[in-house]
Amino acid sequence: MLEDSRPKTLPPSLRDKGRYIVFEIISENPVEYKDFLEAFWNSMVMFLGELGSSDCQARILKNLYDQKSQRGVIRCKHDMVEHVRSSLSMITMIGESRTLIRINGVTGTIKAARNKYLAMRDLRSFK
Amino acid sequence: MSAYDLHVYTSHTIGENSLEEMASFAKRLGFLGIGVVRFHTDPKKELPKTDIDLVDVVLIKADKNIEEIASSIRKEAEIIAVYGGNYEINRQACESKYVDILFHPEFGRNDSGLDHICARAAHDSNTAIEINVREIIESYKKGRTRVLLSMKRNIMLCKKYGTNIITTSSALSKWNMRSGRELASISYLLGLELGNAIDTVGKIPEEIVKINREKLMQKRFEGVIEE
Repeated sequence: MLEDSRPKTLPPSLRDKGRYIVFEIISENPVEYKDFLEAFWNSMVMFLGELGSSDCQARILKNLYDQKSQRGVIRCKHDMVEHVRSSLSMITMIGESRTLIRINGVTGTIKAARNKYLAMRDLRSFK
Repeated sequence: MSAYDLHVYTSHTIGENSLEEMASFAKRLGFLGIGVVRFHTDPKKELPKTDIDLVDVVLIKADKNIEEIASSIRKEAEIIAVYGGNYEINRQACESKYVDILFHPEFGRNDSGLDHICARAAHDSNTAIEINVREIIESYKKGRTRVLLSMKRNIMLCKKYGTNIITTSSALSKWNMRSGRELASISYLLGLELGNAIDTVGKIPEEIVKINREKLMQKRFEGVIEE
């Protein structure tokens, strides 16, 4: 029986360049992750269509979503940031509360997103 | 990034939230100022001082005589805007030297509401054409495709003739507001270059407000001020 193996990781020159969009949810009531996920994909598919959404290669980083501060990070392709940004601005309702999504910033690495916008500083760099 | 949203309604007109609520929310979204819209038939009210710059925008919603109405209110209005949608009104607004902004020329139409004559006239008379983001957000499926197509066409004409474009949220409540950079990203997707798209919420509205204030304070005399 053949062993299931994974393809090798692509060299950096062949990988897609990503950007990390740090967003903040401003809403009447606190929003849960799964509700935001549904609203995000509805908005993406409705505004950009299925083909456009797949071109964005967008995904929400679940472990960086903070329920308390209502902030999170979305990864997308580097040349599709404006598409994702405008799709996010099309969101008006999540669940039953009126909502708007504000983009705090766009970074090139997760580390920069955590340090600069999510206030998750590494104590080792603390002087 | 300094940004102005020159199309915001408050509870004094048809909006949902008070002026103070809108101003504080706009500040949270990073705006330098907002244009508080009142209709030309409403009496002028002094705007209170807040953390952000409040601009008095007078909206002319009439079926005819745009030029006449605009000239009569020019001396008391910081910005004069015209409620577009009808081709005749759009053309009068584009040709008028008193009008600063034409709101949503494609509103309620199957076409874009502007042609090359209007776009050239708007360039000559310094009238800016609005990209209304609420119209996109509140439309749905087929309607949204029509609105996007009309706006793309208007942007193409404005680029061709060098007409000013501004992007606004046209917010009826604070939940309709979007930050300046988000508004710019929509203009970018509709065909403007990114730098020009950012100017439609920053440099261009700021310049319109600055020039009109100088004219009202009689520091600037060229252009449209009457003898």
